[in-house]
Amino acid sequence: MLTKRVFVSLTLLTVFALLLAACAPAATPAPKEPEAPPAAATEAPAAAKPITIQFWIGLGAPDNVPMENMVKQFNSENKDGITVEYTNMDWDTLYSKIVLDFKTGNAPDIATMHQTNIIQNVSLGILQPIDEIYKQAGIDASDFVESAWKGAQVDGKQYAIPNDMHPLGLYYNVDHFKAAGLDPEKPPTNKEEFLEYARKLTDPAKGQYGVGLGYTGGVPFRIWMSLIWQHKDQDVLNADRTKAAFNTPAGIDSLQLMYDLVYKEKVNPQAEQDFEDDFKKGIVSMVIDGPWSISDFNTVESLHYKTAMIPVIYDQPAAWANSHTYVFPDNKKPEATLAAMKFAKWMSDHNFEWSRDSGHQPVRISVINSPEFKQLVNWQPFAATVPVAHYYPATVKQAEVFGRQPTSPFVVMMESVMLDKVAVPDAIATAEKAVNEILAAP
Amino acid sequence: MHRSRKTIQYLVLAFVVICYAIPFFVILTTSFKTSSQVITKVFQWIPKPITLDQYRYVLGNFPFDKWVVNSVVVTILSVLLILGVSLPAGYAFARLEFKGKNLLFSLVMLTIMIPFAAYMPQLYLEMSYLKLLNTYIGLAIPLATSAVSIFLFRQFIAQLPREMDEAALIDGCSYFQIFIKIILPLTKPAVISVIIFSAIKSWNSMMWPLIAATKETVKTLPAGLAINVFTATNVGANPTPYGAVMAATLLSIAIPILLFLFLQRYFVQGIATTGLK
Amino acid sequence: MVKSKKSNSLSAYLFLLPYFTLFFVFFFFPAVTIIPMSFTHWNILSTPKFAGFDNYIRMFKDPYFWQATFNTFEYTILVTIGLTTLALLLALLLNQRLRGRVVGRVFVLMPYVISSAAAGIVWKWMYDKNFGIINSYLNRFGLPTQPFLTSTTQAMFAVVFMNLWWSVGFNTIIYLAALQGIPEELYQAAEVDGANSWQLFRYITIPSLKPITLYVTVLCFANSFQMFDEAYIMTQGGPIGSTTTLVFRMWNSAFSNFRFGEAAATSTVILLLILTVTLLQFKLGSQRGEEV
Repeated sequence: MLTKRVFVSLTLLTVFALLLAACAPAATPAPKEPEAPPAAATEAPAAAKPITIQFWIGLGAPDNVPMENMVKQFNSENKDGITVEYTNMDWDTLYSKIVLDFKTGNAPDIATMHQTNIIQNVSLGILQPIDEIYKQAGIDASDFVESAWKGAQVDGKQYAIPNDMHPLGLYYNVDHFKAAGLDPEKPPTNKEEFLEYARKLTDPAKGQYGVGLGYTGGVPFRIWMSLIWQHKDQDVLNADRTKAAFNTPAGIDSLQLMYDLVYKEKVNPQAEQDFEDDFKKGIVSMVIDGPWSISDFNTVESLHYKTAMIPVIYDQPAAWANSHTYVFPDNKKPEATLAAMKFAKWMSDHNFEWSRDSGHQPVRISVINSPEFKQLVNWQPFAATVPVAHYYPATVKQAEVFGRQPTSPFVVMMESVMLDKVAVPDAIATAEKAVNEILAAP
Repeated sequence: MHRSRKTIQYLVLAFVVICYAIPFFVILTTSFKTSSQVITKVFQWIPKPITLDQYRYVLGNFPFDKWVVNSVVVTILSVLLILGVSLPAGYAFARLEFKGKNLLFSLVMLTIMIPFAAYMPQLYLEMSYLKLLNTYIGLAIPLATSAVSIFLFRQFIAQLPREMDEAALIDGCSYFQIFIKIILPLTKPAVISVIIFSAIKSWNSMMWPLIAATKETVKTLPAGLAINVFTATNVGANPTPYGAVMAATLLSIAIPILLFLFLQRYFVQGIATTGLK
Repeated sequence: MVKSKKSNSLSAYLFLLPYFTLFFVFFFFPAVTIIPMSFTHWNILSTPKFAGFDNYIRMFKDPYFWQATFNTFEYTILVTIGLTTLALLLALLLNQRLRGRVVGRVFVLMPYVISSAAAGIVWKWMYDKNFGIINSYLNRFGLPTQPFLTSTTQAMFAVVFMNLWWSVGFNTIIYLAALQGIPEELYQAAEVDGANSWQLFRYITIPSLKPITLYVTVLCFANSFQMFDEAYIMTQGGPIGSTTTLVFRMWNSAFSNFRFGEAAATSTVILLLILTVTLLQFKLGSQRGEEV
């Protein structure tokens, strides 16, 4: 009441009040069609009445193409009378739209979402727990990679079905290895080898560099976090996610190493804008990137590459990862949610096809162990990384803390160090302060 | 002396054309390269071999034709809407005296001062209650509130000679009759300019369709390309498929450029007489 | 003509009705809520919570806000001056009786029909350090490679330059039209009086173009002050926030962080800044206009 009165005294009350009034019904979206009670849905036989569900794909190009093809295949098989209407968007659009559309009661029945975004959307009240319904649809939790499955839980409740994992790994150019007298079957495994290889692969005369870490976007700071996790008992945030925990010798040393590769060892190009294109062009010989680049690198005939796990620079193997999951907005339409879950099960059962066509790692243990998957040579190092993969520490402030926006703390930190504008300890201290402020803000 | 001046003018003209054309040649040649040809250390002006791969990829994997149809429909709707609302408003602001004229005109000015993204969420919620999301008209409406065409019409109509409508007024014509019979026929040049500028603006409008056109069935060309082909909005997350971007870009500007070539004569004349001088 | 003012007023409102219906429903009504919203904490799903000046205080304390304000003004001033002068020069050239001027007009306007996303990607690629066509030619002429978009000092200029290519066509065509609207007799009379071509330009062309110049600069200023797409696609606002504008900041607060109150506070500041400058422009414009 008080707030309202203040508004009145502020300005333009009528308009705003009208808007509020207009908004009010949306907070609790009323089901538009009369619905059968949930019990009826559970008893529905396989050949249930036809239902159309809405599916949002946030992947963007080029991963949207294999995803669409799978949806089309599902529709042509028309399982249980379910038809999936899909909408392509990119992640930024999906994450902003889902909030707007949830408010207006237009949220999809199923959507793709990064595992680390689940907690924020749960706290906004958008997602529904699915513990009952996934069992009902016949999904077997024990066949999923544990970190992917458990990572989709908030407060012990399951909110998503994982679809894949994408840990960071090492890509290296086979031709460059041979030219430098290195054995392409023996990628670097530790710090010494990594540095030695990088030096040998660097040839300023040819404009060729040993490593390409990039300086902007998401990947460079994920590499840095991977290095932190390679230290024993080190993390980016503290255990209860209230404070930054990276202003430590581990954090500083990891960042210093990345800086040194560029400015001391000079084995990494300065201000490297697009390391993936540099790798495709043979400007850099090794890059650290996610498996999503496999399908892209495969389009370049002149590029011969192999993959490996990230070298163990510090105490233990570790690499950043995230997963794509299927989430189910709380539409209060149990039938649609069940149909969506059946669709998710079908997609999950085709986990091999998804992995093969997109490059992302399967999360179904049966697929990982299947002979057909073992034949995908460049996929295997990523699969081997899965058990040592680390996600961003779960926090509802995930978008602000780990975002790729220009003024996000880690983007600024990485850019100012990799462009040689700020000394490593100062950049880390600035980022620490920014992260602490975000975590403390209401 | 006169000759040498002409020569210089031709040289400058040639220089300007080359400068403005270079990016188009980059787009053109790149669109005929394979993905691995696109990334060579030295830029190749003529691809060898010439390939249609990129066009095949764009046209084969995406409902390009549907996007074009949607864009055409939204563009036509928004142009009609813009003409329909801003012609009478421009007339009123130019010719009639009424209470609150300055206030109302200042309000119109606000439309160019508030960033669209600032009120987009509220507009979205409102459109949703009005059931206008995923409709062509819902995509066209936000383009019609802009002040630019009202400015143009006001300026144009203000400099038309007043004798005719005053005579008509004495003859007992209503303002509506004057508007229809006298003013409208004279505004043709201004109408052409507004059609072209607002059509281009609508053809390229991206932010609103990106959010408001959820269904694949109403997605417009810029939104479809940006999301499904370009990874433009996923920068830093996925590598950009440059070849496909170039092919799609060429396809998407073919229609407006043909239209412009066709209309450019009327166009310049149209603005010439809008009184914006 | 003092025909009944009353009926005049009524007809006027009827003529304005269609536009103002759209205006109030689809612009004013959603837009006006920005101001009260800027005094709340609101994530769009919750009920707005009154926050006093919290959002403003947070904003003014944030160094990136000041950087974004600086960037926005830098960009806007460069683009407005650049686009206005370049457009005038191009229009003067394309107004000459030259063969092939239609080709010139087409090529100058053609970039304008490309969508911002496509234009941004094309230029990002041309600017690239390793395989961009610009650096490839710089190297060929023995000049050092330039970082362009990856440099905190060059990125903004690179975005401005791209914009000179992309959107100069609009202003050029408007100037071109205005030039053609200047009565030929004015020039003829002046030539009879023995004026040289510089004097013709200085005393006839420039004054005749004054009203249109006001129009062009007002629009240009308001448009470029709201620049977002180009930076979003070419630089993502970087490096180190050097191309982050106020609208970019507002977009992030709203759509990445769901801090709609904070976004509204930024929008309010944007509105106030544009309003101030536009009023100044009109004031200057009308003063200058009277001199003529």
